[in-house]
Amino acid sequence: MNGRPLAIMGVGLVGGFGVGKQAVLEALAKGGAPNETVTVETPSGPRRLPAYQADVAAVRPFISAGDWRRMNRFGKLAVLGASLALQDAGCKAPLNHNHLGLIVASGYGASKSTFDFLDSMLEDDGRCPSPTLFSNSVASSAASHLSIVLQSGGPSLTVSQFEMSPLSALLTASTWLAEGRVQAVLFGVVDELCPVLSYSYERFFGEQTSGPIEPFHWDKQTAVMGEGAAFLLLAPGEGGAAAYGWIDQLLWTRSDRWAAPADAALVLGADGHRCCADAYRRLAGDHAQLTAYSPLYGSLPGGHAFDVAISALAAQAGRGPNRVWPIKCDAEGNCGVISCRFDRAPDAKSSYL
Amino acid sequence: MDIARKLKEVIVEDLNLEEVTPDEIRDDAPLFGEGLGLDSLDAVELVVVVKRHFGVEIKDMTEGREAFASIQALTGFIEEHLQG
Amino acid sequence: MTHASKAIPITGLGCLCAAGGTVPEVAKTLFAGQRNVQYRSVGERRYPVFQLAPQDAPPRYFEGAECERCGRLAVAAAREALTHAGLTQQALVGRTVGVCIGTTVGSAMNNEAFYRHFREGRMPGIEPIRRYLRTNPASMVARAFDLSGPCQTIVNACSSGSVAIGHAAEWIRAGVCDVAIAGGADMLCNVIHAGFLSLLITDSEACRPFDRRRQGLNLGEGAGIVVMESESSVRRRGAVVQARLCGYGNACDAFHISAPEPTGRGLKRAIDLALAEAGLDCGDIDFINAHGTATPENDRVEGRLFPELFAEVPFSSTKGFTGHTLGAAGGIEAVITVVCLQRKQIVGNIGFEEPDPEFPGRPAAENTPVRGRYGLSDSVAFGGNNAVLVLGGADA
Repeated sequence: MNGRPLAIMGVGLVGGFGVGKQAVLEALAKGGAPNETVTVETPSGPRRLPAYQADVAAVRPFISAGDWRRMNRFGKLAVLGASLALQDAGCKAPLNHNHLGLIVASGYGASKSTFDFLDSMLEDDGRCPSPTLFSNSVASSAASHLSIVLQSGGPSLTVSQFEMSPLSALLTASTWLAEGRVQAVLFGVVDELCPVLSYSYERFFGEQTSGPIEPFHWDKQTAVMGEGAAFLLLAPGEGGAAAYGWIDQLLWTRSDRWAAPADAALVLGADGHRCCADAYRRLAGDHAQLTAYSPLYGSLPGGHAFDVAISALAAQAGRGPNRVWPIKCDAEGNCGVISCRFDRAPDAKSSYL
Repeated sequence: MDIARKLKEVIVEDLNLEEVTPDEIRDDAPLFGEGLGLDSLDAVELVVVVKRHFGVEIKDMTEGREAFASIQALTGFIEEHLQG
Repeated sequence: MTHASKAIPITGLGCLCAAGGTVPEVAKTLFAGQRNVQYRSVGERRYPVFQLAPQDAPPRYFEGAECERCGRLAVAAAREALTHAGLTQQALVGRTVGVCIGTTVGSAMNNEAFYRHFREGRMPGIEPIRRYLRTNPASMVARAFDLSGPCQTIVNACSSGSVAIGHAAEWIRAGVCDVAIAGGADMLCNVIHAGFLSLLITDSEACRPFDRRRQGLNLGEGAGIVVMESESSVRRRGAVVQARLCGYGNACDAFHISAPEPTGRGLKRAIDLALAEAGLDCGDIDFINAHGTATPENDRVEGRLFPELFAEVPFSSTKGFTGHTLGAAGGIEAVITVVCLQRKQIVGNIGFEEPDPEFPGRPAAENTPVRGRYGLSDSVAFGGNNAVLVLGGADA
């Protein structure tokens, strides 16, 4: 679809595995697992469900006291992931310029903040809804917080397209760079858990929420809720070196109309949801090289960005192939492909910022 | 009810002010800009705080501007509207 | 002179809002200076809003689930735009059609009844969640017309509709698709209304953009959609070009999550970027469709900036006719801007009577003839994102 490669210059991750690259690599070595449990009320009493939960405390050094008090958790996840990616690329905030594009993609969106605002609406007989909670419930609040923390006046975008959010957002990252709108794009996914989500998981899947995630067990429902943020700093790919490598193809297709090249190393976004399993089964076909990283970070709609980021880290650490095809499917038959090659120049720093 | 005391407590609590205690807030210190350093979003949140905890309504920010000059000013405003 | 290679043809328009159920109806209402203000209860009080007349609403708009409304609005406007473009379902078969829709309510899981039961511990059924998962507005448009190209639901708050049009044009230039359906759709929603009320930026009367006495915004609902195509697609099928998107600029204030930066630096940058992309300067712009929400802060920024940058260029806000339709605003106003280019006339700024002495100029209070070469439409989002479209007449 779009032929120009995107150089991956920095990676930032936070999730159930912990914070940052080292935490991801440790989880990769040991195998991932849920790190928390949440209690959900059911008609037959409380149930404890496993979950991959992120800790946002690590964002504190990146933001002022005023930002810490004002920002919702969704915003903190975004700022943490983004700040780690910038740090990884050797860039320091505040940027004080307009050459960077900001893109936040989310499947769940700022749902927790929406429910927090609804709480303030429903308490006190509806007389006292909170304007601060409302401001934070606006879906683009994370991107706003990010632009303020980074002092970045370039364009920003917030995308809400469930499982296809990362691919959709990357199509725009790619056109922004191709058209010279920006010199680099800080792109990421944020998904946040909340009590309504846990409740929904239990109601949808009942006993089939105990985990662990078995991504290749096509006939079982094994998803375990996850949350976190995965950010990439991207620059135009022609010419220069890339710290991790390149995204070289973005493809929006249908899972019943596309097949990966015969010897491709597939990174399937399979995360234990039965509704997408048949699509993944078909795409997996006879491919010998199949990986799924969801057991490291959980089941979340923005997983495609996590898969790209983790693939980059794995390749850099010599624990993953240099040429991979991360694929994500949704329950409507859409299929997103973000193919990557990781011929590394690990000391390459972003000269764009 | 010691209105000034309660005001300081609910401001710290509801505006999420982690770096100051109610006792540290002076009655005559400005709430906005210098002093507590609150901003325009805190101002509209303060309208809700006053309504929620004292049942007193501030109709708009023109009315709010004077009342929000300091804890002392806001205490006076609340007292006046509780009596009226 | 336009950078001809960048301009993207617009071949179809669709719109529905409080001013009417189709583009011709909306145009008629606006140019007649006719305002359809309704009142809606939020809590114990009633507030002016701009809601769809029942006869203008899409099928099942009121009877179906609330969470489907934004998608239904987008589909209805898209249908009008595709028909206008002469693109039948058959003509779209086998083509890669991109869908970019801006919204606010359409992506929010804010079902009040469900959440009320949930927080009361009543363990509600999850059909509302299932429905929410099926009602992503861009996906609804794609399903309605059996499209399999890329989708993007944009939730940039009040700039979303303009951003959607800008991004769809980028996709066409990059070859991601060669036809795109783009714009915005948003419904009136109790929860969002309560939020804006809590910010004290609404007016208890019909809004007064740029007026000295303005108090704030009124909310509205609707959708505005354009169909855009590559030049080669236009040539191949002999389509009629309605207008061109000549330039798009996007920039952030990086200032505050709810207040606009008072000097308008982000808006100015977005204007400069859009003009540069179009290969134009301020003197080439014949008129401006302002964001003009009627809040004291927003209108202060635009009311100072427009006369400073665009001396003698008429500007007006049409939100006195539509209300602030949030994610739909940029789409609706892009459609209105194209209509104004075609009629060589801009709509008077209804609700304006008394000029604000702080502003060096004033909006066009009456319908005003203009040269129909280039119009500019800006959308300023909550949280500081600024999106600007430069639209050119069919011959631009």
